[in-house]
Amino acid sequence: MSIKVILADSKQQVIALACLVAVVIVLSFMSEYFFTANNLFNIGKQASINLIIGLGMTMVIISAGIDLSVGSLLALTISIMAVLNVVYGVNIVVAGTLAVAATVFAGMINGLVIQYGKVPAFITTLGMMGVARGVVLLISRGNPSMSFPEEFLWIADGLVLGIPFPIFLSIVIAVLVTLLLKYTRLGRGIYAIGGNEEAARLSGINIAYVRIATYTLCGLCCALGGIIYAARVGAAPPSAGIGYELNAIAAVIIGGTALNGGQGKVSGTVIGALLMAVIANGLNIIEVDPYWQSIVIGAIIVIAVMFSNLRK
Amino acid sequence: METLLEITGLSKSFPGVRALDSVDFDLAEGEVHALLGENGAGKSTLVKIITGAYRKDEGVMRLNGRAVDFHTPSEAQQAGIGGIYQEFSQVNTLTVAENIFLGAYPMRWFGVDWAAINLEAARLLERFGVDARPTDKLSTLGVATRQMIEILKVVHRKNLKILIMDEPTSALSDAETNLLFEFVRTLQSLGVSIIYISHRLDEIKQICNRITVFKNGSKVSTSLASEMTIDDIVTQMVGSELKDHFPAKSTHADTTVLQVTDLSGEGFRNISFAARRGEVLGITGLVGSGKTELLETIFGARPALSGSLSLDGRTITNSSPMEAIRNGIGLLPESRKEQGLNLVMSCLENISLASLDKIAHPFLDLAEEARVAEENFDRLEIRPGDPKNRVVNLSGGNQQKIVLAKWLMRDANILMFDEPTRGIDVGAKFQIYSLIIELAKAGKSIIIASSEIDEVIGLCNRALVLRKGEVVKELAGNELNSENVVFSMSGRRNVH
Repeated sequence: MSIKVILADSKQQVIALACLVAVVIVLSFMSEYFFTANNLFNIGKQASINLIIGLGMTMVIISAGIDLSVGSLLALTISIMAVLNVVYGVNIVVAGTLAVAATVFAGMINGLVIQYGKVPAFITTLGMMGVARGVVLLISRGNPSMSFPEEFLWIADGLVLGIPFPIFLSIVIAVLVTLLLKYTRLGRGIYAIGGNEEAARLSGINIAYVRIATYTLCGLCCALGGIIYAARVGAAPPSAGIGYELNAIAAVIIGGTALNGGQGKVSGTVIGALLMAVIANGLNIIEVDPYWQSIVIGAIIVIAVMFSNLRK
Repeated sequence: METLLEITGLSKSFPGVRALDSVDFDLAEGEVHALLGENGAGKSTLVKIITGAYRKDEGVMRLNGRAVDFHTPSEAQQAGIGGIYQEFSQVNTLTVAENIFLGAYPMRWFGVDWAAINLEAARLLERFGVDARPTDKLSTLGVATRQMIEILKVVHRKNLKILIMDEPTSALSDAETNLLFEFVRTLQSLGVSIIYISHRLDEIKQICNRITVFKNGSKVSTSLASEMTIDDIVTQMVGSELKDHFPAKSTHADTTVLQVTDLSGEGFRNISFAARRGEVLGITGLVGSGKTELLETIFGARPALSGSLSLDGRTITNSSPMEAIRNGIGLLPESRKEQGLNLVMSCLENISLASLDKIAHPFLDLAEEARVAEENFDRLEIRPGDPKNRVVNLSGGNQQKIVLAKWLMRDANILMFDEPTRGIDVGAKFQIYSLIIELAKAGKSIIIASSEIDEVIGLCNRALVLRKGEVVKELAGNELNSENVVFSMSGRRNVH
């Protein structure tokens, strides 16, 4: 493939990348502190949770679905782990594993209900968003004071190969999702059911398997995001992850993945999540009122989509 | 007659495709002018430029001698140009009257003047003899009636000068077609010019004044319809003499591969037949006779109510397309875009979609995928010839070849074609016919469901005729002729 074909194929990823580079350059001039290793790691850590969830969301959106429950699923992992560890004294590794398993199961329920219950993804995951949040409040009794053992906090700050673990983990997941989408039958199936489900079915794609696996994997991403969150905060606030579904969707959309499914790239979501984190961090450094963040990011989402649609 | 629309040197390109190359065209007042050409010849592009859906790259378009350049369809509508297309632009949940006036509701005070709309709609329906009430919901009406309403929607614009009709009769019965033609002549007598696109050549001879033939984005000729025979037209469209419209039949009918026994499902009952190796089996019948339902049930895409299938003497269930495909069956569905293709994927990915298990070891071998898919892509002479193109940019004939390539890559033993050449031009049709025969001769068994009688007679060794979901006749050899087929299909004695 020539450079030209690649560019035409990833027009919106290129635009998003150009935006990211431009913002980084501007901020580097505005603040000496911005382009330092320390701050860049900071941005990476800030981006990591949104990116990990966004990667799950990318698969879901390519399959022409949506998952509104990601924020609640993230909180579910944190709370189950906290309750098991703090209240019942279960070893943190065992508690974490059980919490991840429970969250993955919740993601699978999303897929099962959408596939076999014929409930639209929007409604199913809207319901799961409420149910999972309710379970969180129920089991933690609204108690934010539970805190995790000291060693567990390594996950937020520990270094692997010289980079902080949250960044390392999100890179690993991004690579795995890229490989999954490109080199596995499941990945091809995700694109196929997103582009034309009926044609996929008549070509022998196992629709049920693909759909359930997609939401299950999204649940897994939420669980891993939850572990990072728990380590960064060191506690289990029942309000964790509120609004995260919108951030994840924003990262996916800014990265050029179309909401109507069938197309999209992991690289776009990586750029989208980084762009959002850079803007948040940059506005903070140049001491702009933090309320501006959400205004700027909201505008970027709309402009990004406007760009891609006007160019069609 | 005066020239209404005059086009000179019109060109239009899309990425990788020169859709129109310096085309001249003129339309006289009150004439019916046919646009002919294979799919992808440039007819649709020309029409879309005239109606403002596309912008031209080069050239001049004059309406009544005045140069025009429409930026949007609504500008073209303002100038008196309207069209009805293969895909209706109707809102099925609204009423007949609401659809006719869609986008141009007469207002009274602060609201829509519903009384005026219903009154005017009733007048139009009556005048053109359409059997519907203004307050009927569109979703409750048949396809033919909905099409008439689509036309009325264009007609009620009083300044209509040019009407574009794209395959208007593809969903109509003979009686309805005649009704439509009367209506076209009425419009003509009122001075409306009509650009008429159709693949039904006999129809064009019947209704059109002049014929313009396109090929590969250029104009071949414009001539009076009365001076051209159908053979002339076909020759110009294809570029070479097409003596025989069908290749020689397969002669290998051999052992039974697929045995269908007393199969019943939604839309058909108690159907039994055998498909043999090396044979082309036809299934024909009128619209609604159960052909599509039968194929889709055999393929596992619809549930069977009773009956059984056996493959090489072994009972199979085919409870899903997945299972049918594992059993070596492939289906080319009736509607390519909705059921056959993933339009946002590349040609290559569409071709390999049913064969992913073959290229997964366990990870997809993309090089092998590209190689095998390209072999099949090249074998079918798909144009434009880049397998990395998205299928959405291909013409109908080439899209159908992509669906066929998918099953060639899968190496399916039993290939079921549902309306294999619907909406496909003459040249691509012949290629698909040749491929079907070639596959049969190579030992595949082919099942063709078609409502085109010529196709069934020209290709098939044997044919089942369905009526209201039941097999009424099995025809083979000399018995397989149009009289017998038409007689069995309709259940009437004398059909001429």
